[in-house]
Amino acid sequence: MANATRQEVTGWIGWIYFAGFMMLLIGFFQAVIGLTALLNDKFFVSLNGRLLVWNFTGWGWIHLIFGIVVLLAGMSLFTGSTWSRVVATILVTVNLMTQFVFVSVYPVWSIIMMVIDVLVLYALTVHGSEARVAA
Amino acid sequence: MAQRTVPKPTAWVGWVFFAAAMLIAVGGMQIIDGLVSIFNQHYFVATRIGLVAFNYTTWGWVHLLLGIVAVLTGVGLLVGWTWARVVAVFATVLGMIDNVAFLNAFPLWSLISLVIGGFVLYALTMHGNERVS
Repeated sequence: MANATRQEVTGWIGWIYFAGFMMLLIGFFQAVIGLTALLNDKFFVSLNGRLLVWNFTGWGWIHLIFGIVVLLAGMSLFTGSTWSRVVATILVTVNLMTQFVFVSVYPVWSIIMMVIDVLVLYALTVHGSEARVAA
Repeated sequence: MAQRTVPKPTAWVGWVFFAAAMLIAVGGMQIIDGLVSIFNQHYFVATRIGLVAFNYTTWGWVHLLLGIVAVLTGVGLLVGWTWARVVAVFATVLGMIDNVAFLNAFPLWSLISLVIGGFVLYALTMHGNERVS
């Protein structure tokens, strides 16, 4: 711990925990929206429901599985390992693009998710290395 | 604690990776936008009259090419090619102009791409040089 030769821990270390908790939230919301699409797709049809590819069942499964994966990746961030940050960065970037495709179905929800995605990416990439020093 | 002023280059060079992630995301969006514009133009609300300069097919190819360039330069940033930064800035500016012209077709998509393009430009111009040294 004391051998922080490459980089000092700053007050920004909190960003990693922020990213971890935000990914728990993203994963949870994503799973909820996946279940909604699977079990009650009338919920989306009442809004301006235009799907680009696949149907609501397909999107439901994608959101559900992706939500669980993001949740697990968020938990792994608390270990402070480098691979968990790499995996998390890739997953959140993919999530950003997924929300882009889904945005016409439920614009407000997708935009909220995209904002959180960008915050998580900022925390992971710009302040990511400090977690290794602190861990 | 928080008195680190000059960012030291580490294996995890922050802002450049942020720019790369944003660039790959916005490039992917451009590619999606382009493919929809070429193959499924009924998805867009505007009529052909509402488009600036070209029709959907032409705009689709412009989106597609700029998107591919953005993704490739994003990967180049990760690998560490210096010239990728210059190309990335030009590709992002062109992509943003492209999105303003295409705003009529699907405003929400263009706005999202514009915002993320702004993040790319900020990260590359303000913090791009941390990768060297």
